[in-house]
Amino acid sequence: MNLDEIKETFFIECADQMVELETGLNTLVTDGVDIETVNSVFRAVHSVKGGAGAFELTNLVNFAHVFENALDIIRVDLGEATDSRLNLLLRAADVLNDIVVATRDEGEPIECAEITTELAQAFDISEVEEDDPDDAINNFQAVPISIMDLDLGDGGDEDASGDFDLGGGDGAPGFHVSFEPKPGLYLNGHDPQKLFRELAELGSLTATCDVDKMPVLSAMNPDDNYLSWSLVVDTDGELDSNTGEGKITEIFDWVSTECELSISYHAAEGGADGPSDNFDDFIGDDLMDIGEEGEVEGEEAPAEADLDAPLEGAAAPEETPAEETPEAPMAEETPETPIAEAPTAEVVELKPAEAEETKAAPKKVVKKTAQSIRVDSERVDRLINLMGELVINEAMLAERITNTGVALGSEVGVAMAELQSLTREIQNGVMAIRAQPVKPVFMRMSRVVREVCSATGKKAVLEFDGENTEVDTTVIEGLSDPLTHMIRNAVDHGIESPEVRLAAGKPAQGVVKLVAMHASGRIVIEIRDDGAGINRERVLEMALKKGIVSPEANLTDNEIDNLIFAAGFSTAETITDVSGRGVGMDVVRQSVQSLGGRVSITSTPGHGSVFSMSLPLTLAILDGMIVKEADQTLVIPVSSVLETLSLQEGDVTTLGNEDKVMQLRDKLIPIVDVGYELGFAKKRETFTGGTVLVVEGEKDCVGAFVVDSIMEQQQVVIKSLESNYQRISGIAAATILGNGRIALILDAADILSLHDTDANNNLAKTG
Amino acid sequence: MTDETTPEAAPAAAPTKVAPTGAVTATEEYITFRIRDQEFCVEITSTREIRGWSNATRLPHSPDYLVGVINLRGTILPIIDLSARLGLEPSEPSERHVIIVVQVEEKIFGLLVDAVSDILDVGPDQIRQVPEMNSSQAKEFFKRVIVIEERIICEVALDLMIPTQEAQQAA
Repeated sequence: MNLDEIKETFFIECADQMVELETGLNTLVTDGVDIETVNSVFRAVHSVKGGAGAFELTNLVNFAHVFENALDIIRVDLGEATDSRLNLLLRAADVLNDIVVATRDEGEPIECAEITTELAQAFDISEVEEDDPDDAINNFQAVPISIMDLDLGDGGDEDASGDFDLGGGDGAPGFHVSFEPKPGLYLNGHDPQKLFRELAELGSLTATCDVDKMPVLSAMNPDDNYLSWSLVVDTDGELDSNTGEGKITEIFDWVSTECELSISYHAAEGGADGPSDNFDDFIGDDLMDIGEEGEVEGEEAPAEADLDAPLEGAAAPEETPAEETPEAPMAEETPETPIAEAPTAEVVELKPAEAEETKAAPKKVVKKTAQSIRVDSERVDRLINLMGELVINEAMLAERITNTGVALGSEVGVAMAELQSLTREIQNGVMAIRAQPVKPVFMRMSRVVREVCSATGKKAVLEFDGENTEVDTTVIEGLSDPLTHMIRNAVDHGIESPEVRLAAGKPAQGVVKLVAMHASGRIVIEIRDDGAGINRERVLEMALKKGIVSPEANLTDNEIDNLIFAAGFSTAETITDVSGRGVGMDVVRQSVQSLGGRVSITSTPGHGSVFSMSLPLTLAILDGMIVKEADQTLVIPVSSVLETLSLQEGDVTTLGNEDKVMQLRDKLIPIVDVGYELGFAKKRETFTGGTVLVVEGEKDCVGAFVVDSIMEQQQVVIKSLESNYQRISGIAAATILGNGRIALILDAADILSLHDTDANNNLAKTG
Repeated sequence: MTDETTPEAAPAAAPTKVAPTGAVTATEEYITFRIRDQEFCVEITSTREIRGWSNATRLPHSPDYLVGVINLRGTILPIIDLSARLGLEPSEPSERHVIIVVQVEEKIFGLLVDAVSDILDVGPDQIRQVPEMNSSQAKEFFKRVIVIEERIICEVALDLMIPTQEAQQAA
């Protein structure tokens, strides 16, 4: 595993942390402040900062640091969490997210000075930058000291203090490091010996072990630590105070939260009193992290009596005595390969709540069994593909068994039935693996609401319901865009300005509610706002003006509402930054359709609108209408079929040159001879008696697909044609039928646009 | 699974590509096949399996040499009529025809040929460059020529069999 992969993992985890952070902050805003949530928010930021530090992502670390400082104030005193501060934190979370994304994609650095200042002001943080006070001390004189043999005895036995050369005096030139490990350091498998060896690589090292705190044997707690070290590194003038300190800091990076560390340069008064670097900031965190574990034993460590959290509480169930911990698996870790064992895309990962510790630093106290795993989605895809094969093969086997005339009640028949029910169960199980809650996408929407609010001066809050509803990941990916559009629209067009709302007797702050639920094998997502509702007069007026409807058309209220999905429709009088480019709802409808879904709106004037999207639960399988045409078996997605009918004599009229249309109620619909269009057959002489599927394409395009017959409707597994061949116009994908043959899945929208686009559009509009 | 004979050579992960001529001293194995009265070959390392003909599903808007797609244990496998592809008379697929399943990088496809004839051990001294020929449509699809005694066998350039999207757009 190389560094890039580790970095990738870090960003994956960052995304989880950002969700955690935003969820937490939202909870604080809506449900009031409680310490648990504050801590979880803090942990999320802290983890991001910790990981970013390991990759030297300075921007990210710096901003996370400021963020953390602000949170710390709330954590110390919950009373400090005012609404305005929380809202600022929410905005800061957005910026933090942007920085994470920008860093990941190596994009333009995000400007965060403004929000940093705002945070500093709001939380009254005096900027404590890590200015190096040691810069002044430049009277450095190289006094070579030979590198001592760092024999720490058998694998870091603390009692082996006698092995250390006590010669390193306080006044010796070089870097003075005071290092006081906490028990957690050993529990996590770190080994001071290795750290010292690293130090010794920088220059000659003198280590002095301080055994003053060691109690008498009877009073000694084997899990506790009583030793600390004073270390003097003489780099022989090779490193100046800044870089030297940096290098030393780097060495201790992975244990920074597990020890009291201070570094000073040539400070004659002794390292321990030297200016401490910002690791001190970590110490508080560490205590919190450990205190969070809920496995605290309540026994105060004598040596750490000044610290309020009992550190041995961090002990894992398989607690090992401190003397042995350096031999724990992680003891092999050195700062160069710090997270070699960190979760990869395929490695068991802890749930975010437990995982942060692992990420903040390689504190590998795995105390709970992992509850979720992170699996490469390709593996799952392969499994799903194989599942598809299994279903097909099973169907073939069943067909052949039936053909041999074996009775259903026979042994073979019964075994076959069992196999079938097993297959179905496995299929459900496999599909469930890819199912994910829609929550992360929903969480992103609260940011959209915030941004639109600040751009329009409106007040709105986003509420969720059913955010844990699960749907296939492929659908979730496609959900984000249309949802963003609709949420923007709901706030920008739906919610009224605070003044108007107050005048109408509504609270100044509008509510947008995002609801997810399962309904008849599909997922339904609703966006409800309590705004003004659709202004039907204006919609109709606009639609007439733009020629979307004809003046004679007598539309129901619902039909008028749904006009907003028509291509090129936008009622916004001025084009705002937010929405109103005249493509909004049309784009929404198209992207929902491309996912095999539908979208509609219902609206009550004065009380708001409800946008409703219904989507398939997966994109791996679709509901297909199996049809026969020109000796070919074809599949037409049910989602694009509006209705089916058979053609009678006189239904078809020829327009102009060759174009054939049929009249369906008051609409003229172009006829598409599917077999001819795909090059499978010659043009039909007559359409009478043909079976017609009225399909819907993009931009209100409707067409009548003529086929020989409709066989059945069934679920088909979607197979890509592109993987071994290339995209074919008019064909969306392929599938394998029960008889083992391949059938093509038609792309209705594509075929319609191929079929003389101009004529189509004109006809559609006359409807 | 249908009647098929899988060559013992492991498919997929083909060993390091062989330099055009003579760089490798060891012999290489080639699988030879017939189309009408001509003999052609492909490297055995790009061959995944050999199977009998099964009815293909036609693809619309596809070139005439693309017979269609068949189901190879769940993979959508395009079948190329090699005869038509090389500019010879198109084949009329029947039970007697054979499909050689080959892999080029990530793509897997089948070559429709009349019959598989041989597996040859070919040494570097038996491999020749494709000679300059007068505008034969075939020559651009040949990679090298193998000369064994009286036999002259053209190696088919597999990577040119399936048109790429870019090539199509450029055309």
